[in-house]
Formats: sequence, structure tokens, C-alpha cells
Amino acid sequence: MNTRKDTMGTALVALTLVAMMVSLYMVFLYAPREATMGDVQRIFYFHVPSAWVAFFAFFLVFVFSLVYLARSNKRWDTLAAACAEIGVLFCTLVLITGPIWAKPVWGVWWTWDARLTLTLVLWLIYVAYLMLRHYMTDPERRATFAAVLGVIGFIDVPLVYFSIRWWRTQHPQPVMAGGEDSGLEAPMLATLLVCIATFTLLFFTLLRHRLKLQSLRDEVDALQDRVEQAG
Amino acid sequence: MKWLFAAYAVIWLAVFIYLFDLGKKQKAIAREVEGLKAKLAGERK
Repeated sequence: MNTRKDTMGTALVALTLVAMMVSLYMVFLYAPREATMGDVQRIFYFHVPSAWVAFFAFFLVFVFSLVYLARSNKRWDTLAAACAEIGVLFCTLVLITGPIWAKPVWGVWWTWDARLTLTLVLWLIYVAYLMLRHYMTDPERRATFAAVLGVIGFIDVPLVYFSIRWWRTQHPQPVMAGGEDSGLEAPMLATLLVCIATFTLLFFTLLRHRLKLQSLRDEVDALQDRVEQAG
Repeated sequence: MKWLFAAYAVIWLAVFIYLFDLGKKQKAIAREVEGLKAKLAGERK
């Protein structure tokens, strides 16, 4: 069973690496240079997938938290915690790569428009989620409180997504499913979709490592109990 | 081009730091597991 798991893990890492190579090729050599912004537009190919992974991870936190509240099984709490940690990592990347793109294009690093502000709020919600988990010592209370925050916090995700559709914002309008004026050239769209697939693979690779760490922690707890009982 | 480099460098750095940190924690906990197993085996003897 372990050998099968290791083989699957190795295959996932290899697939992620190959996909990343293909993505980099497409971003820098296949996708055409954007006419107005130039090469800086290529940040978009990793910025948008980072946002996708953050949203996906927070959606999983929402689902696993709901299941935990319904069943009180520690396994769902562990999954939610792992997804939240990776979600925060990618949300941080969104908040860093966005301003790096904004500075040469808008002339400012940051502006308090709806999309940017709501994304910062999203990041703060899940940082609070991780802090709550870190500072609460009682495992059951920690899991319940975190699950409630994981469910409520997810409300901000659709707000971030729809903010550029509902309000006039400085953030660029949607390039996919955004109406008649939206859309990308075929090579740009293909590059974006490949990058989204690659980042999804990267998410599962990181999740697998994070869960392995958790299973080792659980093993330590079980062994410590046995040592105490034996002593 | 410097902005493009900065953005991609930040992404790679963050992912590698996260993976490195996970690996470091895994190694430390694996050592702890071995220590506890050895302690248990010693107590049985």
C-alpha cells in the first residue's frame, strides 16, 4: 500500500515538473507579446492561476469544514487545515505579483479598489484562521472554531470573484466569461489554461506533502500516549 | 523585463521555501517518531 502511495506521489511530482516546464515554455516562448503592456503582461499567466488555486483551496476548506461540523471526524479538520495553509501561500503570491504588475502598468503599487481590497480581506481571514489554529490548544474546540471560520470566511471568495463584474474597478475586467468585450487570443488562452492546470497539479503535490507531515504528527501523538501509558 | 523577473522569482522562491520548510519539519518529526519507538522498545525490554 505504501509502495503504491509512493509511486503515485512520485508520479504526481514528475507530472507537476513536466507541466511546469511546458507552462514556462508557453509563457515565455509560445504566448505572443501583448501589444499595450509588453512583456510585463506575462505575469498574468502565473498571477491568475495563483488566484485560482487560492480560491480552490478555500473552497475545499469550506467543504471540509462543513463535513467536520456535521461528523466531528478529525480527518476533515486535518484536510481543511492543510488546504487553508496552501491557500494562504497562493493568496500571498496573488497579493505580491499583482502589485509587481500594477507598478509599471498603473504607476502605483496598490489602489484601494474593490477587487484588491476584498482580496486583502480574504488573505487576512485565512491568516486569522491559521492563527486561531496555532494559538488554541484544545484540539476539539480548535477544530470547531476553525471550521466555523472556514465556512463563514468563504463568503469573501465569491465577493472577490464578482467584484470586477458588479463594480467599476481599476483592476482589469474579466478575460474569461466576462461578456462580449472580454476574451483572449487563442495562444494566450491556451497558455493560461495550461498554467491553471499546472498550478492545480502543484496544489495537489503540496497538499500531499502537507498531509504527510500531519500523519507524522499524529503518529508522534499516538506514540507519546503509549510512552506515557507504559511509563 | 525586471518586473517580470521579480514576479516569477517571488513565486518560485515562495514555493521552494514552503517545500523546504515542510521537508525540514518532516525530517524533525520523523526523528521524533524514531526516538519514541526506540524508547518504547527499550521499556518493553
